[in-house]
Amino acid sequence: MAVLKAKDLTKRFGGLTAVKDVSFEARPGEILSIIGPNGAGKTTVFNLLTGFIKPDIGSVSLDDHDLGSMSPESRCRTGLARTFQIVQPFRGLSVLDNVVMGAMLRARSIDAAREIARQVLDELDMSALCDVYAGQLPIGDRKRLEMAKVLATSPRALLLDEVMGGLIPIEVKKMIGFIRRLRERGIALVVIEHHMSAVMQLSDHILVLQNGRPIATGTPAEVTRDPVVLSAYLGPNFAAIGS
Amino acid sequence: MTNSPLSALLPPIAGFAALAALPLVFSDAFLVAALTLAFLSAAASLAWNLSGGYAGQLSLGHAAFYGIGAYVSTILFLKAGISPLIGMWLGAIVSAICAVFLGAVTMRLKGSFFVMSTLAFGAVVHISAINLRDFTGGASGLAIPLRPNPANLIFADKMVYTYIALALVIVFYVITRLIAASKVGYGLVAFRENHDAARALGIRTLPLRIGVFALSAGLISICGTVHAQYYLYVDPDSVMGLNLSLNFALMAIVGGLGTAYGPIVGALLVSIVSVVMQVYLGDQISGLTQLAYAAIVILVLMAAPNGLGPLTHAFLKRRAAWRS
Amino acid sequence: MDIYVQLALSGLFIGGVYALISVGLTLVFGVLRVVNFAHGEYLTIAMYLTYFMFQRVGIDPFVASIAVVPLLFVLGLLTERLLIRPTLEAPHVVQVFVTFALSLFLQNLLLTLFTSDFRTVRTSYATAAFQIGPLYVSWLRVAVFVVALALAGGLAAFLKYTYMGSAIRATAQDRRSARLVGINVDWIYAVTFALGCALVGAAGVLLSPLYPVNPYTGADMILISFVIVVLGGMGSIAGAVIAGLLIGVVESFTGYFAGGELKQLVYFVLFMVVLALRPNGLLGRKGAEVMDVT
Repeated sequence: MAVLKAKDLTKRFGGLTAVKDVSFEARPGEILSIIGPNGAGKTTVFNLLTGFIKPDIGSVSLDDHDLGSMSPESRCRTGLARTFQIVQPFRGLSVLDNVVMGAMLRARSIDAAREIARQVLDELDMSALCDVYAGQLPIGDRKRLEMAKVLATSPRALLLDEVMGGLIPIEVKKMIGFIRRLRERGIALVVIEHHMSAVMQLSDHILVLQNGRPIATGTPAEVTRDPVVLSAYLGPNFAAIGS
Repeated sequence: MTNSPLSALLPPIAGFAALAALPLVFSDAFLVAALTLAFLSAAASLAWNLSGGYAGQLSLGHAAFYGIGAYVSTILFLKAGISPLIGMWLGAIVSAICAVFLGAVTMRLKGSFFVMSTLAFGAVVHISAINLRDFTGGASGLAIPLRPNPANLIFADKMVYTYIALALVIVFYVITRLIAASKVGYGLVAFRENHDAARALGIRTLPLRIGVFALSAGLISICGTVHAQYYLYVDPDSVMGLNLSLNFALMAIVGGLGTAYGPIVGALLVSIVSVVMQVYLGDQISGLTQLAYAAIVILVLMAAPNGLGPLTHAFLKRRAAWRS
Repeated sequence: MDIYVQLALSGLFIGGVYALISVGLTLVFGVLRVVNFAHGEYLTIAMYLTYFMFQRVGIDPFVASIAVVPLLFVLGLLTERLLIRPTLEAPHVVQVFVTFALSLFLQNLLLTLFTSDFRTVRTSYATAAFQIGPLYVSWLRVAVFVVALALAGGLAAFLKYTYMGSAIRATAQDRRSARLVGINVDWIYAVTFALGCALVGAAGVLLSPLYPVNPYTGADMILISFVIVVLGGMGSIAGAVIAGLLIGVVESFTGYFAGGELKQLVYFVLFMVVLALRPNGLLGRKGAEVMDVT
């Protein structure tokens, strides 16, 4: 039973069709990866799902409730959360306070929110960074902070936009382990990632986009054998050789 | 917010005790008048800071609310004999209602556009006060007869107002601390720091921002009533001028925007500068005090954009400045 | 009937100067994304310069412009270097209040130097007029109007047809891409800001034979200019010109029928209404003014 459903999402910016006819389902405890070359419309899909952009056609539903024209705030409150590819920390605040901002959603008071925030930071091995200003963090820690903030909202469906971009290998490995734990917890995960080996290790399903259109979908094994995907990623000649 | 409540309460209590002692130490009438004005400005700046500092909604129309407070209580007192002790609440309600309407229109405007819209609002109210002569006495204003009576908030001893203003400072400071430590305060700061990030975390900032804008307007309106009773005189330029709005904002900025103590520090610093300038330069060169003031503000903004309070604080303690 | 035509004409004439003031403000905003709240003080400074050149040296205002406008340009370069550039990446509050404090500083500097007395440039030709049918038209006002619009048009042409103009427009579109194609964005910012000051300087020269000057003249004018710039759409030169002429006419009519103070009320209310209903103005680029809120 899917938590998050996208149906026929389509968005045009002027003459450019950024996203066309994108449909998918994300189920609890499963990881769906959206891959595709730069400019394929992946982040636009996230913006459509979370209400930062309104689709021209198509709908998004959470637990079979149509989200309609619901605002990003309301979507988060119903359990659909996201990270930003370009991380959006509250720069002037401490790491702990950044996470408190997320934890407020499910907490009665700031003290309770602070407790939740500490737990989340602990899970992400960030306890030592509590009092550091977010603006002073190196990129790897900023990515983890971006995760910590949204996790504190206790989402049921979570959209991760390139949380491994810019991480060093050891950090990638940790992040993979962490995302797996989220899956075990029963969160429905949708992941945009350029880090292919991570995608292959993590994904239950993969959706491939090119020029805003879905060109393939399936398990990692299916998608890597798909000639359309190979041609999109490596050029038509290479795909021909492959087949 | 605090590790041990007592140790955190000690500095503000000591600070306010010191402020309370000031009028007794400097009991010269000129200095007491300067202190009264400093305290009243500090209270107004605290009220401005709730919305301007914590939410980053840089209003330059707050003098309109200050003026509404002064006029509503004064008009009710002069025309209907209603005590300013009641009138100040009515003024606060009128201001808060105006703020809700203004906020509903302007709160979706970004940065400088919000600033300009509040400028325009301030100008509209200012011009209206000049033109509604039947109520406001026009440009020449309204005078309140000096008949001392505590029930009407009129005192012969001007030092009473010093302590009334200080009481406002303390109350507004406490309100600020309570809000800053609450989900409301955190929500405002989230909006100020990064609007998109706040939205992505499910924080609905619009009702918070409008609510706090209205609270801020209501509180500054009370300062306006006290202003009227202290000077026993209200006119558009002295209670509604753009310079007044600018001053409330600049005091908070100089002292430390979005901190509870910042506006108090800022107001005291500005007052000290202006007293010193007046003593040494006199009034004959009218622009010089303001000239020095503007230069100081520019220097602070360039060198210590978080304000002098947090700058000092950072040396003393490493601690997130906006929380205290 | 004649009175309406007369009012419309005098409104248009002054609207030309309003347009010129606003063009500088909107240009600076369009490129640097900074609202210069001290813009009006550059107008005042230009008017004082013109006044003293006329009064002390006997130079005609139109001739004085040859010196005044470049001086304002240099003043703009200095301001940009000292106050604007260091605060471009600073928090919004710093950007707003640096220019506000600068406005306060310049106003009080002028007050200290020249007191709040009004000073007037009295030219021999100020009252010269010609007659078309029943209408009396002042030569000076026509000349001011024509020069103001010519300058606004000249700016538009400069932006459109010169390399520097293209670079300015490219920077306004996207400062990062502009940098990538080798445009010196810092220099573009400096020139744009200085250009804005030079334009408002020219407006000051043109205004000085028509209006007396004191330290607050610019501050009064700048509020009108905000109305115009928002009405025309922040960053739009054409919008500023159209809105400037429009506000000139509106002001002329309300001033005649409702009196001097109420005319201000009319355009401030207009301003609030525009901000509420159409914050991107008549011709403005969308997106700079409004955020999504719920």
